[in-house]
Amino acid sequence: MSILEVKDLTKTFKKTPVIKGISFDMAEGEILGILGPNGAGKTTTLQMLLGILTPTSGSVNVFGLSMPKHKSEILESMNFSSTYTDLPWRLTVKENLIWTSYLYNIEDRSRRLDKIKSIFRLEKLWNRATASLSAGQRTRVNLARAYVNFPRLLLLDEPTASLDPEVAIYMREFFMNQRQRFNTSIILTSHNMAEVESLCDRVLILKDGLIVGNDTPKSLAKQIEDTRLNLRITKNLAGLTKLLTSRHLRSETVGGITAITVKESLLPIFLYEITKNNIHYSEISIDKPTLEDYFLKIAKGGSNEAL
Amino acid sequence: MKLKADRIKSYWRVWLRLTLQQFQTQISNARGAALLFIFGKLFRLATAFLLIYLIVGRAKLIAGYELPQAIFILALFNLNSSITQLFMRGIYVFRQKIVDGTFDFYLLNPLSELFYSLFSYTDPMDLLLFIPYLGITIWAGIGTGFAFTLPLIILIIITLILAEIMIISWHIVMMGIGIRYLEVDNTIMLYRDLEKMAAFPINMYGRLGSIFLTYIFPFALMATIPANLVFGLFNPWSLLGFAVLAILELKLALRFWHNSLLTYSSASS
Repeated sequence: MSILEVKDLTKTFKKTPVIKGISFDMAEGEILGILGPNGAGKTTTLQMLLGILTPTSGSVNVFGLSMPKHKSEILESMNFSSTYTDLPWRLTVKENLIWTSYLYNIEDRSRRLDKIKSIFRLEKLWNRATASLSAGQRTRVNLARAYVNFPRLLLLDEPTASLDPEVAIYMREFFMNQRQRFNTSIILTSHNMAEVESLCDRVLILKDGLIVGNDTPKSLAKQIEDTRLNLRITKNLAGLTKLLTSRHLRSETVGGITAITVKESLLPIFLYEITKNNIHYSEISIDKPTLEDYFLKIAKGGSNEAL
Repeated sequence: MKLKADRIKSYWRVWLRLTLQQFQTQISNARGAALLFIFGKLFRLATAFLLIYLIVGRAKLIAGYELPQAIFILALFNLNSSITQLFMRGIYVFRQKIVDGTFDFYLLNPLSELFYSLFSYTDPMDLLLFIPYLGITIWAGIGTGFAFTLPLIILIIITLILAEIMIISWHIVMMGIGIRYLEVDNTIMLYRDLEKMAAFPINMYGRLGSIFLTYIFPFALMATIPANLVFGLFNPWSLLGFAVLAILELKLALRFWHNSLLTYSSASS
């Protein structure tokens, strides 16, 4: 069942189109990543999903209700967290969360807040003023705030940026756990490709206000044909150079390791030719293409036909 | 039905909490400033009374009204104005909220962004002033020598409610302008200057001025019209027309607000 349906969404600021008619949907319990270079329209898209910005045209339906017409009902079961959103800095962590619980009309307030305090490990920060917290601690409080209403759909903008690695791993596990236990759907933007690859079921790639990629992280990475073959050559380096020139292959040597960019389908033939040319090596490894390679290709202006 | 009741309860709780917070901040941080604020307000009211006294003392009548009547109009105006200030002081900080991204936060939670923008900055000092203002109004009303029957008091309250609806409408328009042009401060000052004209009987501004202050900017409803109801100079049935006008103004203001939101580009965009 679709929890979110976006159809032909556009947003224009003073005659400049920022989002140019994008459509996508999202299943309940899915974790969807939105990636794109700076200025691609990620934040604008998130803001339209949240009702902060009103679309110029097109529609956003969340839980089967139209945004922004049913904004209040939708936002009761939805929440948002961003590293870059400031919390009321004069209030303590506890006051901030109490305040949020009022906004979401939470009935069993103290029980809910106790739960949130323990999930997000806020015991030591509980009575501290938000202004006195470090960036990482603030991110944690921001995430806690976003969970106060136990949302069905959660939008996370760079959720683990500025968290220390141990807490970042804990948070990632927490998101997965929430999905497993409560079928919580999550939309995530991040510059941490490894995080997106490990968390997201599907990734949308935005560029210049258009969706140019929409698939699982694995399938997107597969669209990159090039792999990197890393060899430590022990004999006949000249033979290898000659072979690379004749095959028009790119390579670079760092620390005695020669990294050769070669199409995945041609890898067996290339390895056979190395052996045939009496080139010896003592180490070999193959780097398969990743989501990051795909992202870099799109960002640099590679294949980007709108989907 | 239950959902609506829950939502109203939620708005009430949030408003109460915001107001208490505001009160605590003022008490703990700026006790001296609060006292100065109250003193300043009462001083302004006293000088206005003095002005009326001096004018009427020389001219005997002000736009056809005697001194006690003019004082009653001024007292009514102050009472009504303090209600507006009490609930809608948030407009003074609205521009800042847009610039620093707080308005995004208003848009992000389930409560109406309009509620937040209008009522999130209730000034408790105005609440404290409301009590003496009410006392002064009752005293001034008695001083006119006219009888205050229950139906008349109800009619005055209805008039004041209609005035508040129209005032809210204009505040919504000003905030819409704020979203479109990031300009609120000068607009609200202009508005306040116009509003102050209603502290005196509006007849003194001539026919055109009266029409302007009755139908376009509804400040006549704040003082002159309810006072005229007491003096028997205003047909109560005309309030029906003002009720229609108030609803129309509110609807137009809300439309303007929603259209303004279409042009809103978030602080983080």
